[in-house]
Amino acid sequence: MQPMIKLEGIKKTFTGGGEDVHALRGIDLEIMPGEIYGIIGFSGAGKSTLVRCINLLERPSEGKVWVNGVELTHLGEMALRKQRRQIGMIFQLFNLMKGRTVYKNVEFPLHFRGIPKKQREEKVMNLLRIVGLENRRDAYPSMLSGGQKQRVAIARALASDPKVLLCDESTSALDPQTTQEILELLRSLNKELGITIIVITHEMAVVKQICSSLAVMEDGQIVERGDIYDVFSNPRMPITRRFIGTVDGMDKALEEILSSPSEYCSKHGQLVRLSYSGQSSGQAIVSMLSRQFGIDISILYGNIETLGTKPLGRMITVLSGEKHAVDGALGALDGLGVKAEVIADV
Amino acid sequence: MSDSSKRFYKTLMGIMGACMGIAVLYSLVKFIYFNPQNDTVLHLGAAWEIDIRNVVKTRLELKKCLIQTLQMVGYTSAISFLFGIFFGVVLVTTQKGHILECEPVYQVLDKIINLLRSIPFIILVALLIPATRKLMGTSIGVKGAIFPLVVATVPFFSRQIHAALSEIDPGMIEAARAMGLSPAAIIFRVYLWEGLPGMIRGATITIVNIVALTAMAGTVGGGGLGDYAIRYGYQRVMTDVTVATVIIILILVTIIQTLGTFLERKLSH
Repeated sequence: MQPMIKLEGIKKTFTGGGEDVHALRGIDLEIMPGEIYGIIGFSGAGKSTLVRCINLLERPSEGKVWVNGVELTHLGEMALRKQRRQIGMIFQLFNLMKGRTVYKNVEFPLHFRGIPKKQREEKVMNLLRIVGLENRRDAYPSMLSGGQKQRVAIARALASDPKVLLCDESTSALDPQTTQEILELLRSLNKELGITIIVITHEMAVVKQICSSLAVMEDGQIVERGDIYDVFSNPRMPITRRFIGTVDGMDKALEEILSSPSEYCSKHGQLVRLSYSGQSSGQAIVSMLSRQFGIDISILYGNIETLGTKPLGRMITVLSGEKHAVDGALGALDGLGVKAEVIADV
Repeated sequence: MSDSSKRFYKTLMGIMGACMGIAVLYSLVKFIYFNPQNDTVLHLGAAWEIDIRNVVKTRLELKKCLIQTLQMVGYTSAISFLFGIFFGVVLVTTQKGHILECEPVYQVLDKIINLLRSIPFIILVALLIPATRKLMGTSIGVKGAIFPLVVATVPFFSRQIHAALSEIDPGMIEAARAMGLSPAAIIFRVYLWEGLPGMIRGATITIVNIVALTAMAGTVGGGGLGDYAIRYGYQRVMTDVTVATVIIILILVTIIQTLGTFLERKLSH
């Protein structure tokens, strides 16, 4: 299958102000049709610049961009503008036209496209129904809440029937409840319209909730990427761990335990982090090990969550007992498909 | 500012406005309804009586000058708005980081506007006499005044438009670009439409400014209320003429400002 979005060797350098800023240092990325792709990074990682390179609001200094099989980077201004119509975009601060009503905002991209008025009205009302705002059609943006504004922005972005929807920190200005609602809306749009969605965010919770794949950005580069389940169950880079830590509290718990082990562990032993996924999370691992090897396992922290349809569990445990018994247990864990990581002796 | 002090200032402004309104209305009513044959004294309360004999005597001249002022303001505004909006848009869009970024155009236009704005109007009028004669055929009267008025107003209004359009949330421009709008469409559909309230504010200030300039234009043979006030009020020491002129201009400015504020409020959401 042809990727919906393909980036090849994207570099962006901002010159001026005395010093060159390398916002992007060579990005390759392929996003398949129908995916919800998350791009996560701390502020300054270059993720907003990256998303602007997809519809060429920022022209990359180097590299090529394909969207839906069309190479955008060599198009002229006119042809590029035409292509942009099939790339919807929503923003952190909504960017609605303040002097226009909800209706006029959604109708905005449909003007001067040779669409009869009747048809436009039908389309706008249909979109407003989808986002659940048909009764606010004559309200001005200043009269709406943040969540409602973002819904209008989504309806506006959908008006030109885009194949791709770029979401630039689109939930960062919203409260958790509203964030949930907007994410649900995006997910249902993805399912019903088959629209490819790229989500730029600094919140792992957002990625965890709706994305099927993700890329982690740091300092203008993608440092880790893959299927969401694989990245969550087996993060390789420290920054990815930090992001995952923000949603499961694992790192924080570990830090606390290590700062004063005696408070948490009644027995001496090895502090082990267990990650288990797929079927192994259904098994009675702890009691089994305890019986089989004659060791004590105390659980200091645990967390099981479902990503997509697959469960993913992590635990901080202390394994105490005879040295060879503990080693044997660690070996057995490997065979059960549980990743065991010895962190320290406590 | 706290809510209570805000309310206090609002009340204060309201009272002051009301007092001024009553005073103006009172004198206006007196001015219109008194009988010029046997009563040429305008009673503004027992303690303050003004002899308006001279105003009455020159009322035909006053009428003519008022019309001249209105003509000058009208023509100058219309022409200046066209140019001002054009240059204002050029300034905003060619600025660094904007849709038609072009540093040389911006810098040159910016400097020309500064230059023109730093010439005092009275000197500008004199400076422009040869050009005015060539362009309008005369350098006196309403016709001769309009050219220098336009030259003085366009830079001022361009700056007002520049300021108004700079206030537009850059996010709206970005959204329009992402939708695939052309620069021309962005100018008309985003800048000029979304910037309308700010532009009206700028236009109001500009028209009031033009009224002040027309008074000066009068002194170099432009006619109008300024000319009237100088010829009668100042040169012939008819103080009542000067006062009447001021009151008429005050009413004019009040009408313009009220209308402008009303429109601006109506259009901003």
